[in-house]
Amino acid sequence: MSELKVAADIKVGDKLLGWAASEDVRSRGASGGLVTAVLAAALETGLVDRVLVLKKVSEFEAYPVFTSDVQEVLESAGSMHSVPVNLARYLKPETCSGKTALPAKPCDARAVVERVKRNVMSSEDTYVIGLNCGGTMHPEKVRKMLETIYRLDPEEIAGEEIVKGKLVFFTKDGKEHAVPIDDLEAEDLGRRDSCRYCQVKIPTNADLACGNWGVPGDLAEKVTFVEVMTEKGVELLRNTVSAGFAEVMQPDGKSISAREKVNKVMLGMSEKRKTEVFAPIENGKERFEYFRKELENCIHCGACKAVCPVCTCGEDSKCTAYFSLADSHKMSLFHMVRFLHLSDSCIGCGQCEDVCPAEIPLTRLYQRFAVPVQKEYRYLPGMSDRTPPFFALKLEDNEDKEGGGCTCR
Amino acid sequence: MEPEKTEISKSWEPRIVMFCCNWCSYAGADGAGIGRFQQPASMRIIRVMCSSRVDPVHVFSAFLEGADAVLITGCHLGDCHYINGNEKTLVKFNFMRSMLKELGLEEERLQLNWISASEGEKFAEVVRMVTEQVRQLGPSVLKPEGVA
Amino acid sequence: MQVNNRENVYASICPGCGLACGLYLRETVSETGEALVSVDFRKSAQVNAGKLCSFGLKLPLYYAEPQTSMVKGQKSELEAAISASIEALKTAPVKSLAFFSVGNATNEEQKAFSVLAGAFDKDVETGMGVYSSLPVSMHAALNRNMSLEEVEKAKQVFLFVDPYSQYPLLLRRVLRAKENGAKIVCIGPRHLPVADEQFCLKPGEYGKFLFPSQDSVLVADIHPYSDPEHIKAVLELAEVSGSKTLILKPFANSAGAGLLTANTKQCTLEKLLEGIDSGKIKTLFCLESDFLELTPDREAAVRALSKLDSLIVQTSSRGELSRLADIVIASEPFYRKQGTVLNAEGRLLSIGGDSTLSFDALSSLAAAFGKQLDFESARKEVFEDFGLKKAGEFAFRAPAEPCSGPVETEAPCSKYEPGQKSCSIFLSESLQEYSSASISASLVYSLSPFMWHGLEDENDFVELNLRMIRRLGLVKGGTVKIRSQGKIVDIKFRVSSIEDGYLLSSQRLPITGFPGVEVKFSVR
Ligand SMILES: Cc1cc2nc3c(=O)[nH]c(=O)nc-3n(C[C@H](O)[C@H](O)[C@H](O)COP(=O)(O)OP(=O)(O)OC[C@H]3O[C@@H](n4cnc5c(N)ncnc54)[C@H](O)[C@@H]3O)c2cc1C
Ligand code: SF4
Ligand code: SF4
Ligand code: SF4
Ligand code: SF4
Ligand code: FES
Repeated sequence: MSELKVAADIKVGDKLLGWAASEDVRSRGASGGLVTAVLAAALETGLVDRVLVLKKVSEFEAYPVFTSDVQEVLESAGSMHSVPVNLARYLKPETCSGKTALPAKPCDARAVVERVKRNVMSSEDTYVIGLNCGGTMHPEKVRKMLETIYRLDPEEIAGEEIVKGKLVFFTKDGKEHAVPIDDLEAEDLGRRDSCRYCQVKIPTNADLACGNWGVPGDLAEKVTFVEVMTEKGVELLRNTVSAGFAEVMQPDGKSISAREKVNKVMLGMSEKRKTEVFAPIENGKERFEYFRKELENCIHCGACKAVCPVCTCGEDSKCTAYFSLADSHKMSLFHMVRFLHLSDSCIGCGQCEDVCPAEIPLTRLYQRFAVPVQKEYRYLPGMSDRTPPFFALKLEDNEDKEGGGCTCR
Repeated sequence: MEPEKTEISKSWEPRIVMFCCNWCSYAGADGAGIGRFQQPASMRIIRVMCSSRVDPVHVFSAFLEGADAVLITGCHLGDCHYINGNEKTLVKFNFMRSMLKELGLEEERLQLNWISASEGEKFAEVVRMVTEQVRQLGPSVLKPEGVA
Repeated sequence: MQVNNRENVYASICPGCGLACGLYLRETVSETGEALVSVDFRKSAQVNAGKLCSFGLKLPLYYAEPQTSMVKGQKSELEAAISASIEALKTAPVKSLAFFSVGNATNEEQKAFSVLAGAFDKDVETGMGVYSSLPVSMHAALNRNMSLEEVEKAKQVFLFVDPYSQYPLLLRRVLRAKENGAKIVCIGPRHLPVADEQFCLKPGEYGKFLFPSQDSVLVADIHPYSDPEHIKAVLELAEVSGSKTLILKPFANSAGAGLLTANTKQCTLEKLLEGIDSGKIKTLFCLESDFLELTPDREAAVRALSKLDSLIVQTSSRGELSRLADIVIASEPFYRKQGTVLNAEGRLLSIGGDSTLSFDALSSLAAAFGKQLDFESARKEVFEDFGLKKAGEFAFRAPAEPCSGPVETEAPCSKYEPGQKSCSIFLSESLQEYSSASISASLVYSLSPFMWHGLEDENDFVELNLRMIRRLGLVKGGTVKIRSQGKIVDIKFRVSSIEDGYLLSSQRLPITGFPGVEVKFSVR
């Protein structure tokens, strides 16, 4: 294996293996505690004012908190697969008045990018430490899995991990219980629906992209593979290494290609699932009937909008201002406006679906509109600073970009 | 139940909400009237200052309140009295059209056309054409119950 | 720039209805000490998986104005308000006292309130008059617990409530039951999208048209305006068919409040109001219960309440009632309370706060009348009363005694003429007889959490079906004039899919008393 890398040598494009210097952080971190070390170092050295992390309540419950307390950051180490929260939503003008760092799954990182475009906060002041993501699970489903498949008492669970395509629960008696995720998903358990067709697995849109893919077997759970994506990423990692919070080294070529390979396989699975889920409904009347039927139970609570991390309108928004409960329309204007507005911007994070009290598969509905539009404009929201196509001032602005443009006329 | 095309009741006539910009297409409508060009009575014209004033909310509301089609008209590209309003209209129009299509509406139910102040005859022609297309399609699925 | 706001996150529950959904309340305390609350989704909550209805999402409005203690219209310290209350209770003739709490307080507070009332040989009134109209043998059935999850497993679900507006977090359970193959039978004037079969029936007709089985679940609710005939008929239907019942309740701790008061002769709000009006009740103590919001006739209530010698209100919310009160004992907002509530499923839920301010106020009141009760012992007693060993999300109340012995049935079906099939038919026929100048309808309120808590929602309209709207010649965007007992309201309307002859409203109309009122329309 190669030598440790010194801080000054870190540059954009580097692919490295890293781990926390502290034994304690290493043991609590998901794989080497690098992310925690980066966050803690950024706070400790004053690179950022506050950090957004998860505060754990139990194995299945955690909520986001802003903190300037390094201890709280250290306690947040570990991956919580049963906490399907989108952290970007908590970044608001009133919470982002200093420099902020946060860990971010691809959907978090994508939402950060979209929120920056909508002037919620500035990119310079937001440090995004990306986490690869294979998917998250809704705690309600986790409980159901434990009950019906694993036959374990939730209170008995000491930990959980995803290893080689299996979801493993560790019980307090020291035993392991593993079931292949495919089997779980065959029974509509396992990951959230939206995660199964999620389009980004490595957050190349973040400042750093961290994950365990590509970590050699003998180092599994001891180190994290990190790719340095931006100058801010360089700043973060150099800061961590020079403050003595973490160590990094060059991986061998095998690691790098292994990571790429897993990513490809995962993206392939997502693509396949996406094709299945979004099989076109050819007949227009049937399409309308599909949307009408899915929306008929909507109670207009507004949760889907409130939770959406790419929607930054706040209280006064077009979808709500012109919608009235007194109307008895065939379809709610609220939903029609949202379908349109999100057609270029929906990142498929699944939040809306998670919180809908009427169990409407909302992400599927939004994606029905987004898939063709995003394909047509060759625009993947949250992946670059390109202006959303809907806000283009003229037709050519969309054509100039990565080709595409509109052909629907 | 949605009536089949063949069973469309005799009394049904297409109702089309038409947005005309103040400077070109609305003047075109005047021209069509003055020139006494034959045109069906299917249009409900709403005058806006510029075609770009037409917001998706207006279009959706028109459909939800019972329009069988919406026709947006404005000045020819390059002639917009607000320099490039109609280019923005075009961007928005494309979005609305793909959205409504995905929702299950026929493409012809949302149309865009550029009509200048002097094109009274074209105005009448567009109205006839759109009305005929919509007549073929029958009532819109978004039409509320109890609205003709 | 550094943000110095302090953020407290409470893993809390929604005080909106008897389901008591889980949520997070994020309280941002600014440097000046002002607290701003926002609601966040708590996906691990068992009751609701983090999902909320619009009431839950609007909780920041509910929590917007903190209460301050008052004595005779003047701001005062909490202690002063407590002493003034002691004084008022001491001087009042024992017979003229009444204690009122519908179930917005914790079990521990409710316990302390009962102890206080007990010092005067009184029971706490919960406003659930239905208890006194039903035989005691039926009371257990009203509190028998059943988890929402069980609804999903039912083969047939009979809904006597409208889950869309009344108990929104019930809806997903019903939808899942339907997905699992259950038949959904809805009883009420509104046509619900989830319904496989829809009936509009009078209580006496349930037995004739509804055929639940042992795998069925009957979902109904009891509230201060419940029609005893209806509840009785539902319980009898369950008894005869062996089906299970889920009896929902409108307040977060209705179930706890009901079980903690030994009073089986709860009087109705109307009776209570009568007592006040006639001078039988001279001192009224309301615990987290807004008598004005609850009462059928607001104006009459204001008039009656002004006749009281003292009105003592212990509350966290600012409403008109606290403006009328002689003494206001300010309590902390619900989410800051330490303690538990028992939701409609029978699940004991911890509120998640750490303050016992309100409890302490009650216990010092009780102490002044010789009854000692500290929080820990109240807590213990609550557990004992419910037959529980531990608190927390997983705790279920031990099943209540099943209804023993046969219920005294009065064969209610036979009271109805065989010709009256369902009221839909009945009403639409009778409608024809009216000339269009005097169309009438029966007014039915959709009793939503907004209505019970007097919080405004965006539903300032009434609902009628298309046929009635046509007959009345109403036009879109206009209003409808509704007349009842000499009063008229002019209000927006909506075309809804409801039965002929019904007028639905989800806000209180300033025209008349409560349920089932016949109203007339003024035709232009
Ligand atoms: C849900 C999830 C799925 C993942 N799937 C993969 C995968 O398929 N392949 C792969 O290579 N890597 C995956 N990772 C990344 C991997 O598990 C490690 O997080 C990464 O290798 C960094 O390890 P670490 O020890 O440095 O992190 P740690 O030092 O343990 O830090 C983890 C950080 O992540 C935050 N966090 C935990 N849970 C969440 C969450 N649900 N949402 C947002 N932030 C969270 C914590 O607050 C903490 O700051 C996943 C991570 C998560 C959270
Ligand atoms: S949507 Fe994608 S990035 Fe987000 S949790 Fe699911 S798999 Fe991960
Ligand atoms: S979350 Fe669901 S029920 Fe609520 S408004 Fe959105 S779609 Fe409707
Ligand atoms: S619409 Fe739903 S899936 Fe799309 S970005 Fe918003 S919350 Fe995420
Ligand atoms: S259903 Fe009831 S408890 Fe749940 S959010 Fe709505 S009002 Fe609150
Ligand atoms: S003014 Fe006619 S399109 Fe702008």
